[in-house]
Amino acid sequence: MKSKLKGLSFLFKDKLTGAASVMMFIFIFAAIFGPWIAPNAKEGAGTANVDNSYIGPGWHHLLGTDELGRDLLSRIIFGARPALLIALAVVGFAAIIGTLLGLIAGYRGGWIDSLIMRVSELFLSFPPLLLSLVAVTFLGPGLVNALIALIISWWPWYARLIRVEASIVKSKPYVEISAAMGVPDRVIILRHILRNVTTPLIVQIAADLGTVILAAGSLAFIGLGAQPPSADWGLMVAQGRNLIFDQWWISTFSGLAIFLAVLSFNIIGDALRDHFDPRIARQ
Amino acid sequence: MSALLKITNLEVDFQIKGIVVNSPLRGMNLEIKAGKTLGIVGETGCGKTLTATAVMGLLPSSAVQRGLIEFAEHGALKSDEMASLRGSEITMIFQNPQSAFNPIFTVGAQLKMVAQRRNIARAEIGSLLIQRLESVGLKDTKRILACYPHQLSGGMLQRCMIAMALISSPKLLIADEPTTALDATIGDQVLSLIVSLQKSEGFAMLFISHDVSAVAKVSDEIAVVYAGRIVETGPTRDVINSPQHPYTRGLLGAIPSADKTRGKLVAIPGNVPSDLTSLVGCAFADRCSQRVDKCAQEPVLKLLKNQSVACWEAG
Repeated sequence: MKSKLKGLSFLFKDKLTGAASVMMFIFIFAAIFGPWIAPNAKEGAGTANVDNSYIGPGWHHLLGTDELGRDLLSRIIFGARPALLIALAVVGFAAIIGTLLGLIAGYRGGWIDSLIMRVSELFLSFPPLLLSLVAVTFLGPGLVNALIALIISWWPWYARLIRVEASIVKSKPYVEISAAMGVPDRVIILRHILRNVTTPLIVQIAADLGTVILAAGSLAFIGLGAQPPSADWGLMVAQGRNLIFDQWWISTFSGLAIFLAVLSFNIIGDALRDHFDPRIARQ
Repeated sequence: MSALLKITNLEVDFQIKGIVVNSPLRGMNLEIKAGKTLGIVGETGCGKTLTATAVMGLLPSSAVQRGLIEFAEHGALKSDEMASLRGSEITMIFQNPQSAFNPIFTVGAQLKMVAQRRNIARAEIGSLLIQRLESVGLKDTKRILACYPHQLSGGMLQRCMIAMALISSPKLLIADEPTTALDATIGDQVLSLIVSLQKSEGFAMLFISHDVSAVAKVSDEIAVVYAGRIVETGPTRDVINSPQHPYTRGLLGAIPSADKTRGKLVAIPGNVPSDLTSLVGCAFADRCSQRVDKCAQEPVLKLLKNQSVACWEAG
């Protein structure tokens, strides 16, 4: 797999994927270097400048300003970092929890498998956003609680995916033989099985990053996620919502940022899947 | 000399939700002396592999096991004790070397996983592996350790698997049809290798095969298994030269030979019964040419001269 990752050329295999990759790199660049590249770093970080409020897009403010007179482009650039961090944190924790439980369920089987799967089904029987909403309502609004809520609704997908893969690998002769040669279960799970499930795991993670950004944006939009004055895209869409007919740019551009981020992550997720699993590659 | 491995009245049932769906082992009794080889022959579905799986403690969770498995000074084994002997004092080689190795790791990495359990100093593992590979007749061992399984031939992989099984210097090696997936000449080389390794290392062996000629080549004693029980057992020479059970005669008659240029090979009509739960009488009766009325009762093993036979008509 190392040699496969060496060539990142698959990220530019066609125009669509290429465009998505460029978008993603811009996005990641903004997330890392936001404070240095934003036209107005102070306003990006949240300092109000009420004299300038509601200026339309133009030369001085490329994307206009919001109700507190902050440069919208700077705000959007500052919003990239929390969006990426949320996505990575949610997907990361969900993947770790889900993978561990899925490996145990798939390899052990029996009652522990049933237990883990029934619990995950309990979580899966609610629409993911609804489950997150309920969780946040219990925990109280806020970024960290929104993170926890999203992880709660996300891990079962990983547990199920990894369980299936693990139970397939488990029945391979080389796993049985390793057991017969006295290799301990821990080593079999961590080396033989985990190594064989990395491909679907990577693909699932890539596909989920975009979806998590959208879900976190949704929670912020209804006031249960990030709180003002933080620069969060979902929050910014919500703040511009009442002004959409007069100061259209506030909701439009922050919504566009979510849209492009989610779209490019999803396209790259597809490209990764095609790359790792040629059997289901698009024609 | 006392037995290294002694299996007494081993029965295995498969259950689904508490209901017995099949009983493929219906009372196996066998004994292997230290350093000696017992060959188990029989058709597919007779319970040969299942016996080995039970000895290794690797039965699936749907299987229920009764009877005694005693091993060396450990006495009767419980399943957790088996797990600790597995891979140290008892190891196993398998049928298909190509699928025995994980395709995404090098052969060396997989041998190392097995060696790491052995409290061997990390620095010595490399030289131990090379020495082990050389002992199974492989040359160019450094390269082989760095190879992925698909880069090696079936014969080489089977040698690697034997090397893997012998890393821990086991007292008992279970060989489950080790030559079946290899072509005849390579299979023969592997057989000779196993015999010479047994001489130099002194391990006992449970050799499982449906190929009577392979079993005859390596075993001191033979047990012919049919439908989950032993029907004939004794010293290899006696069983091969004067088979007493009709099933043994059938198996021997089905071996092609270069000397017999004329005459048809004799096939045993019918198949091994697949459901043994409701079996009454001799399991072989339906396929037997010498069937008599008494076959409606189950025959027990009786000793004739050197070998034991479970047949009313024998002796």
